[in-house]
Amino acid sequence: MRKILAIIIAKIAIALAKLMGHKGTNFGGEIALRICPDILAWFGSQVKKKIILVTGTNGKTSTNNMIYSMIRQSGHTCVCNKLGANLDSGLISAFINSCTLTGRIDAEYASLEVDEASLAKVMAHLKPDTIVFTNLFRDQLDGYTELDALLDKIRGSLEKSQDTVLLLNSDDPSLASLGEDLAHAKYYYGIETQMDMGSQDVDKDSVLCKLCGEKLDYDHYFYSQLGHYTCTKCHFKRPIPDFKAFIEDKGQKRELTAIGKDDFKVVRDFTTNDSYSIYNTLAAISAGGVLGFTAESVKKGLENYRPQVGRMENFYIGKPITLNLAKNPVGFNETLKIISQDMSSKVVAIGVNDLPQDGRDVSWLWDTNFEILLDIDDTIVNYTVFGRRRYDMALRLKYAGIDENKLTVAETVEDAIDSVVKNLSDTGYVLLNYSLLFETQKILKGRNEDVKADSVPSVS
Amino acid sequence: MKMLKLTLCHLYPELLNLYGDSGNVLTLIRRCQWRGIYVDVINCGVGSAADFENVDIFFMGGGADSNLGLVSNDMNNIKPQLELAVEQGKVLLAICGGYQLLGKYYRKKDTVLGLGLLDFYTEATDKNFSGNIVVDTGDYHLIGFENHKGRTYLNGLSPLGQVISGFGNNGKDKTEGVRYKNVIGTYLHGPLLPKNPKLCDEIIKIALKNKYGIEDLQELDDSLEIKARQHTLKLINSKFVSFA
Ligand SMILES: [Zn+2]
Repeated sequence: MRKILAIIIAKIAIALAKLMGHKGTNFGGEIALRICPDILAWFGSQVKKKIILVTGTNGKTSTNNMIYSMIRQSGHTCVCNKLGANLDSGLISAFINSCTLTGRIDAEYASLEVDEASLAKVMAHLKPDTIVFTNLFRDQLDGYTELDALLDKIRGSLEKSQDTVLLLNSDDPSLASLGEDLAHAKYYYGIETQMDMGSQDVDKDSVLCKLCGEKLDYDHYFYSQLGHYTCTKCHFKRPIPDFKAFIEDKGQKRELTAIGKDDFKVVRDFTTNDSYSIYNTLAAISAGGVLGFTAESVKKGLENYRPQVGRMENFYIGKPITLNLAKNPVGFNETLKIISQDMSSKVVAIGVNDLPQDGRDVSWLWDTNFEILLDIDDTIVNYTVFGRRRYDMALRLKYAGIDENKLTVAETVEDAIDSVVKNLSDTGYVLLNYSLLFETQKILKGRNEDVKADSVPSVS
Repeated sequence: MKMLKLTLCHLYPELLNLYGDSGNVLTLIRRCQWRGIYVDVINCGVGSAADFENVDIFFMGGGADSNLGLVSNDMNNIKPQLELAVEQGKVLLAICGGYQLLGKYYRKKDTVLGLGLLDFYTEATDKNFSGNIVVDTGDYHLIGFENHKGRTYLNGLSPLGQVISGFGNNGKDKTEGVRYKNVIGTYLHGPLLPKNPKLCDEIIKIALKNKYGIEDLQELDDSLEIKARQHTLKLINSKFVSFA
């Protein structure tokens, strides 16, 4: 009875929130959780076939949505938190959105993105069949203070769930060290081609072996801490992937070929050369393989996948404007690299908030390589900063060395978009972190002039 | 006039690199550059004990606990040179983990680290002190973000300032950081210097006085820094705005 009450109230709350123009991605779940604390376990027990969790620092939403699309293409029903609300309340909201008033879920699968720091909490209620890990970078957000502590926490909750199959990124030493310690059924994916991802990061210089503390030696380096590595002191090295990716440059595009066991082979083209979408796609393809889907339905799933809100989303307001969500140094650096390849004149707007879901500490702005923009400074007519921490961003750009005369500090999101539209340029870019996304996207959508400007599959 | 040049030694930049602390080095460089002072940066990592005689400013950032052990071990090799530099009145700015290592000890369970350069000590706890912080140095207010499980006790040493809002050294005695001669230890990230240009300029002034006997420093246009301070103070508590 308590469950049903929780569901009815939550459904009403979600409907009201939607009426008021909010996305309500966490709200309903929070209410249901308060009324009925074990509601997630109860929903989970109704999933007929498999529960898949997708976690990691970056790329969760894209990877999870690709997996969802594959499950649907394979002819199954599936619950999914598509918009990326990835705390326990967000997962509950996803279930509430697809259940009846009596709380019945008619789903064979659940594919759920989970915040990496909340994985332990979620696993206390849900027993996943498979967990897909994207990567574990050092994240500067509160409560994520140290990667080591996070790894310990994740290891602890996995030890309590021995039947769960793990899918890990072999190019990520943090994840490989996690796999090293655990007796679970494990599969690895990794990029075999020693391709250049154009990274200027120096993170690899400080990656220590999680087993013995020695510096890792990189034979090849992709970006952040991802690459082909070996410990110079102990036996730790990059595991040989079960799903191997080969990348071939074909003029303007790159072709990814992912190969698993028993003729499992999927080929996919990329229009942009950003490394994120390659890794996310590889993770999703490998998940399809682990779940036992055919290469054909995996491929169809990828073709039907549409990137979510704010992932290199295109608008047209007097000029093409690209919106991209980035929430930490690695995400920002990747986006800045893409912008730096665009030689047309442009306005670059950067929005930074410091609400709990963004991380209250904004010092990560100084770990982000905004100096990349200086290389194309002559193509940038205006830098606009907005959000609660707009002045921190303004100072970051000043100390990066931009001309203060090109800087606009916008009081509101509306003012920021005005600045992007009104400053004369060929294109505009709007980069922001999480809690600014939905308001900004709504304003851009409201002012969008061109129906042709549709999302292109790209970054997450 | 001859070209003014300062040498900044960044200690363990590879291992002590949390929370944007390299932004402090960038800020020191820029604020010198804008005044026509050239800054030479020496990166000093594990095993690369350099000649510190020409160094004017030392900088240490914060780091993950797992990296502090490596740093602490290596630092023992350069302790005599650092001690000498400190007694000569050179500037040493140390943030968070770097700050903790300067003390007599930093104890976390069975691990005890510490250089013993100064007499304060730190005990690790499970509870995080995390949030915006405002500190009164007597001359001006510092703004930053703290995020630490260590509780530091000064053992009679002078603090960098008094906590107006936030936790500081231990959450009890209202002190924040340490100040001994020109050693400045603090828990303030943010990073510290971009939003605290007065402290940055004080460091530059000390270094110029030590090296060239120059007392005065050219003013810069800090209107953006002041606006950033006002804005941040307002986010913390609107009655703090006058501290900008
Ligand atoms: Zn090792």
